[in-house]
Amino acid sequence: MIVAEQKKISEIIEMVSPYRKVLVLGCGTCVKTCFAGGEDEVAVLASLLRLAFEKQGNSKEISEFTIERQCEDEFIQEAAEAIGRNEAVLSLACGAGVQDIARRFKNVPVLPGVNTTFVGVMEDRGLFTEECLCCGDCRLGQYGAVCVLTRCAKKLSNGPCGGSRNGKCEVNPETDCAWQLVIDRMRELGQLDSLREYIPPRDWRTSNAGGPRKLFREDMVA
Amino acid sequence: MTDGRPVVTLFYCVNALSRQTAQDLENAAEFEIRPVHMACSSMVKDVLLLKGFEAGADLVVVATCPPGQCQFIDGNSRARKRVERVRRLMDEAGLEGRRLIIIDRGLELEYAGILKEFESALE
Repeated sequence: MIVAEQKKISEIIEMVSPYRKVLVLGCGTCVKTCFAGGEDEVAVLASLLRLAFEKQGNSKEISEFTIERQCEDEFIQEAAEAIGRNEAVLSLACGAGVQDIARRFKNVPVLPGVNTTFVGVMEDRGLFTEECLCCGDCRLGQYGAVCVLTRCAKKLSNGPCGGSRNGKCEVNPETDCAWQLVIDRMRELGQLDSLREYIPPRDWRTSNAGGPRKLFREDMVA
Repeated sequence: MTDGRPVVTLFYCVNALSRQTAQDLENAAEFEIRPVHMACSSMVKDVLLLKGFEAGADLVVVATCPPGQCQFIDGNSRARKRVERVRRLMDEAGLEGRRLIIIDRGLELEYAGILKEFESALE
């Protein structure tokens, strides 16, 4: 999932200050799962904003709405009426959602309420960790489904570096050594020998270094 | 409508206040107390605490069982974490987070003691 965290409330207050009617718009998929922008977070943030502006004597209308996904037109349309009633949208979706809402509603400022952080998983209750850089050239099959590009601090394609201690990374002792995980996994799979094979440097043209990437599926077009 | 007395929204676990204390609080002369009784204090959600303030409360209180004495194992510590988080958010928003308190002495604390806690929070 895409992991995000809510911006500081002081930053949000400053952003929405110029507008009299603001819609706090939640997204019910990734950011809901990481407790940053689902229905519950929308309710809390909207309530805080109402109380804060009321205390300032600043009369504002803060309303709430949550759709299933802010990155799909089908769901975005459900918010059209609510967006139309407001002067600005405070979107709690990831960066893609914010931009998609802005693309559909050209006359309404769309402001980001969260910082989109990474693509990851919920490793434990309340703990989210990054697991994918979206490099565009997945090699997980060679590494026992552990992404060394994301999870090794040195991004070694041919590891380990030799600096880990007790299975932890020397760069950050709180992080598991990705190469230790690779080796453990490959051993369990009985494929440890395959790590003897040299893996050539990555072709970074598939990453976003050359600007935004596009994916076109001709078979999906009428 | 309030009658000028400080308004207190009291979320309480039914195991944390005796029935008598809860009744006495509802009839307290010093405060207008709005009680919300719950099967466990962990049922209180972040937004409910804030809704208490939106509805005009001067003080929002969560009464839980003492640490280690929750019938549902960790309901009281969950409630405490929520209260602390909402208090931090309120401070960030300039809303005086000290107006949100937790009382975790369970049945040990009786009517007078609870009112004293309210008074000191509102000072």
